[in-house]
Amino acid sequence: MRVDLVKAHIAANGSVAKDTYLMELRLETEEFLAAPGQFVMLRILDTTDPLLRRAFSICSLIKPNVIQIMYRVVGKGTRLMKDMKEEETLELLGPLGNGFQGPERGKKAVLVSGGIGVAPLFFLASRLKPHDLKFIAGYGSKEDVVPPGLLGLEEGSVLFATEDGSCGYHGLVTELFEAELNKTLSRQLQVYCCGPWEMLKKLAHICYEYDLDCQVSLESAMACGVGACQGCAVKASASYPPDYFHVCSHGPVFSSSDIDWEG
Amino acid sequence: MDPRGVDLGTALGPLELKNPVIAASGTFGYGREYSSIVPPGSLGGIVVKGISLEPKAGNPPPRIVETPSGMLNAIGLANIGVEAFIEEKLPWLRSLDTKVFVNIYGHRLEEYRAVASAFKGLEGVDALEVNISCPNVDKGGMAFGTDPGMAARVTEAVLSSTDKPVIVKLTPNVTDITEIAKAVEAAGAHGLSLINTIAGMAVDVETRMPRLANVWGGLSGPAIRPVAVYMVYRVVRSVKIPVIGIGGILEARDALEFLISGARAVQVGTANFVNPKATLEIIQGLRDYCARKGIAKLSQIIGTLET
Repeated sequence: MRVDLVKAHIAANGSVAKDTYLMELRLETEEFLAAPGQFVMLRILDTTDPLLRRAFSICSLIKPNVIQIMYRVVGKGTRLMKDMKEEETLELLGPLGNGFQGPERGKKAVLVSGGIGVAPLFFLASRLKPHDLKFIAGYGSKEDVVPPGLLGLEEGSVLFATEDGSCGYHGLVTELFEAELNKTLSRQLQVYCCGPWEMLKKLAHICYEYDLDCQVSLESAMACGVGACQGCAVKASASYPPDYFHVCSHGPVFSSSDIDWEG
Repeated sequence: MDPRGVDLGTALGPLELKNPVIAASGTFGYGREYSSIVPPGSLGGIVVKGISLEPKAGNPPPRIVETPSGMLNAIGLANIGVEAFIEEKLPWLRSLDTKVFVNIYGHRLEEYRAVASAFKGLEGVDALEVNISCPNVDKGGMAFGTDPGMAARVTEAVLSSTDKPVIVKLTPNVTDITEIAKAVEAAGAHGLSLINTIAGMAVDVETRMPRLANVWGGLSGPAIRPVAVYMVYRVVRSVKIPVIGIGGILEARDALEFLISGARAVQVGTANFVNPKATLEIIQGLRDYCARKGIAKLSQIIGTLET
Protein backbone atom coordinates (compact mmCIF):
# COMPACT_ATOMS: atom_id res chain seq x y z
CA MET A 1 0.00 0.00 0.00
CA ARG A 2 1.37 3.40 -0.96
CA VAL A 3 1.38 6.11 1.68
CA ASP A 4 1.70 9.69 0.45
CA LEU A 5 3.18 12.60 2.36
CA VAL A 6 1.76 15.54 0.44
CA LYS A 7 0.60 19.12 0.65
CA ALA A 8 -3.18 19.40 1.09
CA HIS A 9 -4.70 22.68 -0.08
CA ILE A 10 -7.99 23.66 1.49
CA ALA A 11 -10.67 23.95 -1.20
CA ALA A 12 -13.57 24.46 1.22
CA ASN A 13 -14.03 24.51 4.99
CA GLY A 14 -17.34 25.18 6.66
CA SER A 15 -19.75 24.29 9.41
CA VAL A 16 -22.24 21.47 8.76
CA ALA A 17 -23.67 21.05 12.27
CA LYS A 18 -22.96 22.28 15.79
CA ASP A 19 -19.15 22.29 16.34
CA THR A 20 -18.88 20.10 13.24
CA TYR A 21 -17.01 21.05 10.08
CA LEU A 22 -16.47 19.62 6.63
CA MET A 23 -13.13 20.35 4.98
CA GLU A 24 -12.37 19.67 1.34
CA LEU A 25 -8.71 19.12 0.55
CA ARG A 26 -7.01 19.13 -2.85
CA LEU A 27 -3.96 16.90 -2.60
CA GLU A 28 -0.71 17.35 -4.48
CA THR A 29 -0.86 13.87 -5.91
CA GLU A 30 -2.44 12.48 -9.05
CA GLU A 31 -4.48 9.78 -7.47
CA PHE A 32 -5.18 9.19 -3.79
CA LEU A 33 -5.97 5.49 -3.45
CA ALA A 34 -8.18 5.56 -0.37
CA ALA A 35 -10.84 3.06 0.69
CA PRO A 36 -13.75 3.61 3.11
CA GLY A 37 -12.56 3.25 6.72
CA GLN A 38 -9.05 4.50 6.01
CA PHE A 39 -7.79 7.70 7.58
CA VAL A 40 -5.31 10.50 7.09
CA MET A 41 -3.07 12.40 9.48
CA LEU A 42 -2.99 16.16 9.06
CA ARG A 43 -0.30 18.49 10.27
CA ILE A 44 -0.77 22.17 10.85
CA LEU A 45 2.44 23.62 9.45
CA ASP A 46 4.84 26.05 11.11
CA THR A 47 3.92 25.46 14.74
CA THR A 48 5.11 23.16 17.50
CA ASP A 49 1.86 23.58 19.46
CA PRO A 50 -0.06 21.57 18.41
CA LEU A 51 2.93 19.35 17.71
CA LEU A 52 1.57 16.05 16.48
CA ARG A 53 -0.56 15.33 13.45
CA ARG A 54 -4.26 14.76 13.97
CA ALA A 55 -6.02 11.65 12.63
CA PHE A 56 -9.23 12.02 10.59
CA SER A 57 -11.38 9.47 8.82
CA ILE A 58 -11.84 10.08 5.15
CA CYS A 59 -15.44 11.20 4.67
CA SER A 60 -15.49 11.16 0.89
CA LEU A 61 -13.28 11.01 -2.16
CA ILE A 62 -14.86 13.40 -4.60
CA LYS A 63 -12.16 13.39 -7.27
CA PRO A 64 -9.06 11.20 -7.62
CA ASN A 65 -7.08 13.79 -5.63
CA VAL A 66 -9.79 15.60 -3.67
CA ILE A 67 -11.02 14.31 -0.33
CA GLN A 68 -13.34 15.54 2.38
CA ILE A 69 -12.84 15.09 6.09
CA MET A 70 -15.39 15.88 8.77
CA TYR A 71 -14.27 16.98 12.21
CA ARG A 72 -15.61 18.13 15.52
CA VAL A 73 -13.92 21.00 17.28
CA VAL A 74 -12.59 19.42 20.47
CA GLY A 75 -9.18 20.95 21.13
CA LYS A 76 -6.43 23.26 20.02
CA GLY A 77 -5.74 21.56 16.68
CA THR A 78 -9.34 21.48 15.49
CA ARG A 79 -9.92 25.04 16.78
CA LEU A 80 -7.12 26.22 14.51
CA MET A 81 -8.46 24.14 11.63
CA LYS A 82 -11.96 25.56 11.76
CA ASP A 83 -10.62 29.07 11.17
CA MET A 84 -8.46 28.07 8.21
CA LYS A 85 -9.40 29.60 4.89
CA GLU A 86 -9.49 28.39 1.32
CA GLU A 87 -6.05 27.96 -0.24
CA GLU A 88 -4.34 27.61 3.14
CA THR A 89 -2.24 24.48 3.27
CA LEU A 90 -1.95 21.50 5.57
CA GLU A 91 0.37 18.53 5.19
CA LEU A 92 -1.24 15.14 4.82
CA LEU A 93 0.03 11.62 5.49
CA GLY A 94 -2.13 8.84 4.09
CA PRO A 95 -4.13 6.92 3.25
CA LEU A 96 -3.49 4.96 6.45
CA GLY A 97 -4.87 1.86 8.12
CA ASN A 98 -7.21 -0.86 6.96
CA GLY A 99 -10.70 -0.05 5.74
CA PHE A 100 -14.05 -1.84 5.94
CA GLN A 101 -14.40 -5.28 4.35
CA GLY A 102 -17.33 -6.56 2.29
CA PRO A 103 -20.23 -6.86 2.57
CA GLU A 104 -20.36 -10.41 1.24
CA ARG A 105 -22.63 -11.01 -1.71
CA GLY A 106 -26.26 -11.28 -0.63
CA LYS A 107 -25.72 -9.49 2.66
CA LYS A 108 -27.31 -6.16 3.36
CA ALA A 109 -25.13 -3.50 5.00
CA VAL A 110 -26.33 -1.81 8.17
CA LEU A 111 -24.38 1.34 9.03
CA VAL A 112 -24.65 2.66 12.58
CA SER A 113 -22.97 5.88 13.68
CA GLY A 114 -22.73 7.91 16.85
CA GLY A 115 -21.90 11.62 16.55
CA ILE A 116 -18.89 12.43 14.40
CA GLY A 117 -18.47 8.66 13.87
CA VAL A 118 -20.74 9.26 10.90
CA ALA A 119 -17.74 10.45 8.84
CA PRO A 120 -16.24 7.13 7.63
CA LEU A 121 -19.72 5.65 7.18
CA PHE A 122 -20.63 8.40 4.69
CA PHE A 123 -17.65 7.24 2.61
CA LEU A 124 -18.73 3.60 2.91
CA ALA A 125 -22.36 4.46 2.02
CA SER A 126 -21.18 6.23 -1.13
CA ARG A 127 -19.67 2.96 -2.34
CA LEU A 128 -22.77 0.82 -1.71
CA LYS A 129 -25.99 0.57 -3.71
CA PRO A 130 -28.80 2.46 -1.89
CA HIS A 131 -31.13 -0.56 -1.72
CA ASP A 132 -28.32 -2.69 -0.23
CA LEU A 133 -27.90 -0.56 2.86
CA LYS A 134 -29.61 0.82 5.91
CA PHE A 135 -27.99 3.84 7.58
CA ILE A 136 -28.82 4.70 11.19
CA ALA A 137 -27.20 7.82 12.65
CA GLY A 138 -27.30 8.79 16.30
CA TYR A 139 -26.69 12.28 17.67
CA GLY A 140 -27.19 14.14 20.93
CA SER A 141 -29.64 16.63 19.54
CA LYS A 142 -31.10 18.04 16.32
CA GLU A 143 -28.41 20.72 15.97
CA ASP A 144 -25.73 17.98 15.85
CA VAL A 145 -27.30 16.26 12.86
CA VAL A 146 -25.22 16.32 9.68
CA PRO A 147 -27.61 16.53 6.67
CA PRO A 148 -26.92 13.45 4.48
CA GLY A 149 -27.54 15.53 1.37
CA LEU A 150 -24.25 17.35 1.99
CA LEU A 151 -22.44 14.09 1.33
CA GLY A 152 -24.49 13.18 -1.72
CA LEU A 153 -26.88 10.79 0.03
CA GLU A 154 -30.59 11.13 -0.50
CA GLU A 155 -32.40 13.01 2.24
CA GLY A 156 -34.60 10.46 3.92
CA SER A 157 -32.13 7.65 3.32
CA VAL A 158 -30.78 7.93 6.89
CA LEU A 159 -32.73 7.08 10.05
CA PHE A 160 -31.95 9.37 12.97
CA ALA A 161 -31.94 8.84 16.71
CA THR A 162 -31.35 11.74 19.10
CA GLU A 163 -30.84 11.47 22.82
CA ASP A 164 -33.19 14.41 23.49
CA GLY A 165 -35.76 13.31 20.91
CA SER A 166 -35.49 16.54 18.88
CA CYS A 167 -35.02 14.61 15.63
CA GLY A 168 -36.15 11.09 14.73
CA TYR A 169 -36.21 8.30 17.31
CA HIS A 170 -36.05 9.55 20.94
CA GLY A 171 -33.26 7.59 22.55
CA LEU A 172 -29.95 5.92 21.88
CA VAL A 173 -28.92 4.79 18.42
CA THR A 174 -28.26 1.33 19.83
CA GLU A 175 -31.95 1.07 20.82
CA LEU A 176 -33.08 2.14 17.36
CA PHE A 177 -30.69 -0.39 15.83
CA GLU A 178 -32.14 -3.20 17.92
CA ALA A 179 -35.71 -2.09 17.12
CA GLU A 180 -34.86 -2.15 13.40
CA LEU A 181 -33.31 -5.61 13.77
CA ASN A 182 -36.50 -6.90 15.33
CA LYS A 183 -38.50 -5.51 12.39
CA THR A 184 -36.36 -7.42 9.90
CA LEU A 185 -36.61 -11.15 9.53
CA SER A 186 -33.46 -11.46 7.46
CA ARG A 187 -30.25 -12.12 9.33
CA GLN A 188 -28.19 -11.72 6.16
CA LEU A 189 -26.72 -8.52 7.53
CA GLN A 190 -23.28 -7.00 7.80
CA VAL A 191 -23.05 -4.31 10.47
CA TYR A 192 -20.58 -1.41 10.22
CA CYS A 193 -20.27 1.10 13.01
CA CYS A 194 -18.27 4.04 14.27
CA GLY A 195 -18.83 6.19 17.34
CA PRO A 196 -18.03 6.48 21.05
CA TRP A 197 -16.57 3.44 22.84
CA GLU A 198 -19.67 2.76 24.98
CA MET A 199 -21.90 2.77 21.92
CA LEU A 200 -19.61 0.40 20.03
CA LYS A 201 -19.41 -1.87 23.05
CA LYS A 202 -23.23 -2.03 23.17
CA LEU A 203 -23.47 -2.72 19.44
CA ALA A 204 -20.81 -5.41 19.67
CA HIS A 205 -22.87 -7.07 22.37
CA ILE A 206 -26.13 -6.85 20.38
CA CYS A 207 -24.42 -8.25 17.27
CA TYR A 208 -23.01 -11.11 19.34
CA GLU A 209 -26.53 -11.90 20.64
CA TYR A 210 -28.02 -11.81 17.15
CA ASP A 211 -25.02 -13.64 15.66
CA LEU A 212 -24.25 -10.82 13.23
CA ASP A 213 -20.88 -9.96 11.78
CA CYS A 214 -19.92 -6.50 13.01
CA GLN A 215 -17.06 -4.26 11.97
CA VAL A 216 -16.15 -1.31 14.17
CA SER A 217 -13.99 1.68 13.32
CA LEU A 218 -12.09 2.79 16.43
CA GLU A 219 -10.68 6.13 17.44
CA SER A 220 -7.55 6.66 19.50
CA ALA A 221 -4.97 9.28 20.27
CA MET A 222 -1.96 8.46 18.10
CA ALA A 223 1.39 10.00 17.30
CA CYS A 224 2.68 8.37 14.11
CA GLY A 225 -0.23 6.69 12.30
CA VAL A 226 1.99 3.99 10.80
CA GLY A 227 2.63 1.49 13.61
CA ALA A 228 5.96 2.89 14.79
CA CYS A 229 5.09 4.54 18.11
CA GLN A 230 2.66 1.92 19.46
CA GLY A 231 0.77 4.68 21.24
CA CYS A 232 -2.73 3.82 19.99
CA ALA A 233 -3.06 0.49 21.76
CA VAL A 234 -6.40 -1.23 22.18
CA LYS A 235 -6.79 -4.46 24.13
CA ALA A 236 -7.43 -7.55 22.07
CA SER A 237 -10.07 -10.05 23.16
CA ALA A 238 -8.69 -13.01 25.06
CA SER A 239 -8.73 -15.34 22.08
CA TYR A 240 -6.04 -13.38 20.27
CA PRO A 241 -2.41 -13.83 21.37
CA PRO A 242 -1.08 -10.25 21.01
CA ASP A 243 -2.46 -8.44 24.02
CA TYR A 244 -2.80 -5.13 22.23
CA PHE A 245 -3.66 -4.10 18.71
CA HIS A 246 -2.58 -0.76 17.30
CA VAL A 247 -5.55 1.21 16.03
CA CYS A 248 -3.47 2.81 13.26
CA SER A 249 -1.87 -0.23 11.66
CA HIS A 250 -4.02 -3.22 12.71
CA GLY A 251 -7.21 -1.12 12.39
CA PRO A 252 -8.83 1.35 12.59
CA VAL A 253 -11.49 -1.13 11.42
CA PHE A 254 -11.71 -4.30 13.51
CA SER A 255 -14.12 -7.17 13.79
CA SER A 256 -16.03 -6.36 17.00
CA SER A 257 -15.22 -9.83 18.36
CA ASP A 258 -11.46 -9.10 18.20
CA ILE A 259 -11.69 -6.32 20.78
CA ASP A 260 -11.78 -6.66 24.56
CA TRP A 261 -14.61 -4.20 25.29
CA GLU A 262 -13.89 -4.26 29.01
CA GLY A 263 -10.20 -3.44 28.38
CA MET B 1 30.47 25.89 -2.12
CA ASP B 2 28.28 23.06 -3.38
CA PRO B 3 26.27 21.49 -0.53
CA ARG B 4 26.63 18.11 -2.27
CA GLY B 5 30.39 18.30 -1.74
CA VAL B 6 30.14 18.59 2.06
CA ASP B 7 31.47 15.57 3.95
CA LEU B 8 28.94 14.77 6.68
CA GLY B 9 30.85 11.73 7.95
CA THR B 10 31.33 11.32 11.69
CA ALA B 11 32.86 8.67 13.94
CA LEU B 12 31.55 7.15 17.14
CA GLY B 13 34.63 5.38 18.39
CA PRO B 14 34.97 2.35 16.11
CA LEU B 15 31.80 3.19 14.13
CA GLU B 16 32.04 5.30 10.99
CA LEU B 17 28.72 6.96 10.10
CA LYS B 18 28.03 8.49 6.67
CA ASN B 19 26.23 11.33 8.40
CA PRO B 20 25.38 12.19 12.01
CA VAL B 21 21.61 11.71 11.79
CA ILE B 22 20.25 8.60 13.50
CA ALA B 23 16.59 7.63 13.98
CA ALA B 24 15.92 7.24 17.71
CA SER B 25 14.67 4.11 19.42
CA GLY B 26 10.92 3.71 19.69
CA THR B 27 10.16 6.32 17.06
CA PHE B 28 11.12 4.45 13.92
CA GLY B 29 9.65 1.03 14.67
CA TYR B 30 11.91 -1.70 13.34
CA GLY B 31 12.98 0.54 10.44
CA ARG B 32 10.46 -0.69 7.94
CA GLU B 33 7.45 1.41 8.96
CA TYR B 34 8.84 4.56 7.33
CA SER B 35 10.91 2.95 4.59
CA SER B 36 8.56 4.08 1.81
CA ILE B 37 9.16 7.69 2.86
CA VAL B 38 12.70 7.55 4.27
CA PRO B 39 15.16 5.28 2.41
CA PRO B 40 17.06 3.83 5.40
CA GLY B 41 20.31 3.99 3.44
CA SER B 42 20.18 7.77 3.54
CA LEU B 43 20.48 7.83 7.34
CA GLY B 44 23.62 7.72 9.44
CA GLY B 45 21.95 5.00 11.49
CA ILE B 46 18.78 3.53 12.87
CA VAL B 47 18.17 2.58 16.49
CA VAL B 48 15.49 -0.08 16.56
CA LYS B 49 12.81 -0.23 19.21
CA GLY B 50 13.99 -1.44 22.62
CA ILE B 51 14.30 -5.23 22.76
CA SER B 52 13.94 -7.36 25.86
CA LEU B 53 14.55 -11.05 26.51
CA GLU B 54 10.84 -11.92 26.47
CA PRO B 55 8.13 -10.28 24.34
CA LYS B 56 6.36 -7.46 26.16
CA ALA B 57 2.79 -6.32 25.48
CA GLY B 58 3.25 -2.86 26.98
CA ASN B 59 1.04 -0.64 29.10
CA PRO B 60 -2.76 -0.28 28.94
CA PRO B 61 -4.09 2.72 26.99
CA PRO B 62 -4.07 5.69 26.96
CA ARG B 63 -0.35 5.50 26.31
CA ILE B 64 0.33 8.92 24.83
CA VAL B 65 -0.84 12.46 25.40
CA GLU B 66 0.22 15.66 23.74
CA THR B 67 1.52 18.53 25.88
CA PRO B 68 2.69 22.01 24.84
CA SER B 69 5.37 21.46 22.15
CA GLY B 70 5.86 17.93 23.39
CA MET B 71 4.32 14.58 24.14
CA LEU B 72 4.19 12.24 27.09
CA ASN B 73 4.42 8.53 26.43
CA ALA B 74 4.08 5.44 28.55
CA ILE B 75 4.23 2.75 25.88
CA GLY B 76 5.71 0.34 28.40
CA LEU B 77 8.59 -0.83 26.21
CA ALA B 78 6.28 -3.03 24.13
CA ASN B 79 8.34 -5.27 21.85
CA ILE B 80 8.37 -8.67 20.17
CA GLY B 81 11.27 -10.09 22.24
CA VAL B 82 14.82 -10.89 21.18
CA GLU B 83 14.10 -14.24 19.54
CA ALA B 84 11.34 -12.96 17.23
CA PHE B 85 13.38 -9.84 16.52
CA ILE B 86 16.35 -11.85 15.28
CA GLU B 87 14.16 -14.17 13.24
CA GLU B 88 11.64 -11.71 11.77
CA LYS B 89 13.20 -8.25 11.74
CA LEU B 90 16.95 -8.65 11.53
CA PRO B 91 17.18 -10.20 8.00
CA TRP B 92 15.68 -7.04 6.49
CA LEU B 93 17.75 -4.71 8.70
CA ARG B 94 20.87 -6.63 7.63
CA SER B 95 20.25 -5.61 4.01
CA LEU B 96 20.37 -1.89 4.80
CA ASP B 97 23.23 0.41 3.93
CA THR B 98 23.18 2.16 7.29
CA LYS B 99 24.40 1.48 10.82
CA VAL B 100 21.94 -0.56 12.83
CA PHE B 101 21.91 0.03 16.59
CA VAL B 102 19.84 -2.39 18.63
CA ASN B 103 18.42 -0.82 21.76
CA ILE B 104 18.26 -3.36 24.60
CA TYR B 105 16.82 -3.28 28.09
CA GLY B 106 16.15 -5.50 31.07
CA HIS B 107 14.93 -5.44 34.62
CA ARG B 108 17.78 -7.54 36.03
CA LEU B 109 21.48 -7.68 35.23
CA GLU B 110 21.03 -11.25 33.92
CA GLU B 111 18.40 -10.05 31.48
CA TYR B 112 20.75 -7.43 30.07
CA ARG B 113 23.44 -10.11 29.75
CA ALA B 114 21.08 -12.53 28.02
CA VAL B 115 19.77 -10.01 25.50
CA ALA B 116 23.25 -8.72 24.73
CA SER B 117 24.69 -12.19 24.21
CA ALA B 118 21.86 -13.10 21.79
CA PHE B 119 23.44 -10.67 19.31
CA LYS B 120 27.00 -12.00 19.72
CA GLY B 121 28.54 -12.57 16.31
CA LEU B 122 25.31 -11.69 14.50
CA GLU B 123 25.79 -9.83 11.27
CA GLY B 124 23.62 -6.77 10.68
CA VAL B 125 23.92 -5.39 14.19
CA ASP B 126 26.57 -2.68 14.31
CA ALA B 127 26.23 -1.66 17.95
CA LEU B 128 24.10 -2.04 21.04
CA GLU B 129 22.43 0.91 22.71
CA VAL B 130 21.64 0.11 26.34
CA ASN B 131 18.55 1.64 27.92
CA ILE B 132 19.39 1.99 31.60
CA SER B 133 16.26 3.97 32.49
CA CYS B 134 14.36 0.81 33.48
CA PRO B 135 13.47 -0.08 37.05
CA ASN B 136 15.78 -2.65 38.66
CA VAL B 137 13.47 -5.28 40.17
CA ASP B 138 16.24 -6.51 42.47
CA LYS B 139 16.67 -3.02 43.95
CA GLY B 140 13.08 -2.10 44.71
CA GLY B 141 12.37 -0.72 41.24
CA MET B 142 14.94 2.05 41.35
CA ALA B 143 16.05 2.85 37.80
CA PHE B 144 19.51 1.44 36.94
CA GLY B 145 20.49 4.73 35.37
CA THR B 146 19.95 6.85 38.47
CA ASP B 147 22.85 5.41 40.46
CA PRO B 148 26.47 5.57 39.21
CA GLY B 149 27.35 2.16 40.69
CA MET B 150 24.35 0.42 39.20
CA ALA B 151 24.83 2.14 35.82
CA ALA B 152 28.42 0.90 35.79
CA ARG B 153 27.37 -2.67 36.62
CA VAL B 154 24.85 -2.78 33.75
CA THR B 155 27.51 -1.44 31.41
CA GLU B 156 30.00 -4.12 32.53
CA ALA B 157 27.34 -6.83 32.27
CA VAL B 158 26.57 -5.90 28.66
CA LEU B 159 30.22 -5.43 27.68
CA SER B 160 31.13 -8.87 29.02
CA SER B 161 28.33 -10.44 26.94
CA THR B 162 28.92 -8.87 23.55
CA ASP B 163 31.46 -8.32 20.80
CA LYS B 164 29.68 -5.14 19.62
CA PRO B 165 30.43 -1.55 20.50
CA VAL B 166 28.24 -0.50 23.43
CA ILE B 167 26.50 2.88 23.66
CA VAL B 168 24.78 3.60 26.97
CA LYS B 169 21.65 5.78 26.86
CA LEU B 170 21.42 8.05 29.87
CA THR B 171 18.31 9.18 31.72
CA PRO B 172 18.02 12.89 32.56
CA ASN B 173 16.04 12.08 35.72
CA VAL B 174 19.07 12.36 37.97
CA THR B 175 20.72 14.97 40.17
CA ASP B 176 24.00 15.08 38.24
CA ILE B 177 24.15 13.36 34.87
CA THR B 178 27.94 13.81 34.64
CA GLU B 179 28.42 11.44 37.61
CA ILE B 180 26.53 8.69 35.76
CA ALA B 181 28.37 9.48 32.52
CA LYS B 182 31.77 9.16 34.20
CA ALA B 183 30.82 5.88 35.88
CA VAL B 184 29.63 4.40 32.59
CA GLU B 185 32.80 5.57 30.82
CA ALA B 186 34.98 4.04 33.53
CA ALA B 187 33.07 0.76 33.10
CA GLY B 188 34.24 0.67 29.49
CA ALA B 189 31.34 1.96 27.36
CA HIS B 190 32.27 3.01 23.82
CA GLY B 191 29.86 5.93 23.79
CA LEU B 192 26.91 7.67 25.42
CA SER B 193 23.56 8.80 24.08
CA LEU B 194 21.47 11.39 25.89
CA ILE B 195 18.92 12.34 26.92
CA ASN B 196 16.18 9.77 27.31
CA THR B 197 12.73 11.24 28.08
CA ILE B 198 12.11 13.44 31.12
CA ALA B 199 9.59 12.03 33.63
CA GLY B 200 6.32 13.93 33.43
CA MET B 201 2.59 13.80 34.06
CA ALA B 202 -0.64 15.44 32.90
CA VAL B 203 -4.06 15.46 34.57
CA ASP B 204 -7.54 15.66 33.04
CA VAL B 205 -9.19 18.16 35.36
CA GLU B 206 -12.71 17.19 34.23
CA THR B 207 -12.35 13.56 35.30
CA ARG B 208 -9.50 14.22 37.80
CA MET B 209 -7.71 11.27 36.26
CA PRO B 210 -4.15 11.15 34.97
CA ARG B 211 -4.11 11.43 31.18
CA LEU B 212 -1.91 8.32 30.95
CA ALA B 213 -3.15 4.97 32.26
CA ASN B 214 0.35 4.51 33.70
CA VAL B 215 -0.15 7.85 35.58
CA TRP B 216 3.24 9.23 34.48
CA GLY B 217 5.33 8.97 31.35
CA GLY B 218 8.32 10.29 29.46
CA LEU B 219 8.28 13.77 27.97
CA SER B 220 9.82 14.25 24.53
CA GLY B 221 9.70 16.77 21.71
CA PRO B 222 10.94 20.35 21.30
CA ALA B 223 9.80 21.20 24.85
CA ILE B 224 12.80 19.29 26.26
CA ARG B 225 15.47 20.50 23.82
CA PRO B 226 17.12 23.17 26.03
CA VAL B 227 17.44 20.63 28.87
CA ALA B 228 18.99 18.13 26.48
CA VAL B 229 21.46 20.60 24.96
CA TYR B 230 22.59 21.62 28.45
CA MET B 231 23.09 18.03 29.57
CA VAL B 232 25.05 17.18 26.41
CA TYR B 233 27.17 20.30 26.92
CA ARG B 234 28.00 19.19 30.47
CA VAL B 235 28.59 15.51 29.69
CA VAL B 236 30.86 16.25 26.72
CA ARG B 237 33.08 18.20 29.13
CA SER B 238 33.20 15.35 31.66
CA VAL B 239 34.07 12.33 29.48
CA LYS B 240 36.33 11.41 26.56
CA ILE B 241 34.06 8.88 24.83
CA PRO B 242 31.78 10.11 22.02
CA VAL B 243 28.35 11.49 22.86
CA ILE B 244 25.16 11.28 20.77
CA GLY B 245 22.77 14.18 21.40
CA ILE B 246 19.03 13.50 21.67
CA GLY B 247 16.11 15.71 22.62
CA GLY B 248 13.51 17.60 20.61
CA ILE B 249 15.40 17.89 17.34
CA LEU B 250 12.95 18.88 14.61
CA GLU B 251 15.25 20.51 12.07
CA ALA B 252 18.89 21.05 11.11
CA ARG B 253 19.35 24.09 13.35
CA ASP B 254 18.31 22.00 16.35
CA ALA B 255 20.78 19.25 15.42
CA LEU B 256 23.50 21.88 15.08
CA GLU B 257 22.93 23.07 18.65
CA PHE B 258 23.96 19.60 19.83
CA LEU B 259 26.83 19.20 17.37
CA ILE B 260 28.31 22.60 18.16
CA SER B 261 27.98 21.75 21.87
CA GLY B 262 30.11 18.67 21.26
CA ALA B 263 27.85 15.77 20.27
CA ARG B 264 29.37 13.66 17.47
CA ALA B 265 25.99 12.57 16.19
CA VAL B 266 22.33 13.14 16.97
CA GLN B 267 19.20 11.07 17.25
CA VAL B 268 15.87 12.25 15.91
CA GLY B 269 12.83 10.86 17.70
CA THR B 270 9.46 12.57 18.15
CA ALA B 271 10.10 14.59 14.98
CA ASN B 272 9.56 11.41 12.94
CA PHE B 273 5.92 11.41 14.08
CA VAL B 274 5.46 15.10 13.32
CA ASN B 275 7.22 14.97 9.96
CA PRO B 276 8.24 11.56 8.63
CA LYS B 277 10.77 13.28 6.36
CA ALA B 278 12.42 15.12 9.28
CA THR B 279 15.64 13.06 9.17
CA LEU B 280 16.07 13.65 5.43
CA GLU B 281 15.42 17.37 5.78
CA ILE B 282 17.91 17.60 8.66
CA ILE B 283 20.63 15.90 6.60
CA GLN B 284 20.01 18.33 3.73
CA GLY B 285 19.92 21.25 6.17
CA LEU B 286 23.30 20.27 7.62
CA ARG B 287 24.80 20.22 4.11
CA ASP B 288 23.35 23.62 3.34
CA TYR B 289 24.63 25.08 6.62
CA CYS B 290 28.16 23.79 6.04
CA ALA B 291 28.15 25.05 2.45
CA ARG B 292 26.94 28.47 3.56
CA LYS B 293 29.68 28.63 6.21
CA GLY B 294 32.34 27.33 3.83
CA ILE B 295 32.95 24.23 5.96
CA ALA B 296 34.08 21.19 3.94
CA LYS B 297 33.66 18.63 6.73
CA LEU B 298 30.88 18.66 9.28
CA SER B 299 33.29 17.19 11.83
CA GLN B 300 35.03 20.58 11.84
CA ILE B 301 32.13 22.18 13.67
CA ILE B 302 31.72 19.52 16.37
CA GLY B 303 32.46 20.99 19.79
CA THR B 304 33.20 24.48 18.46
CA LEU B 305 30.97 26.25 20.95
CA GLU B 306 32.28 29.75 21.66
CA THR B 307 32.03 30.53 25.33
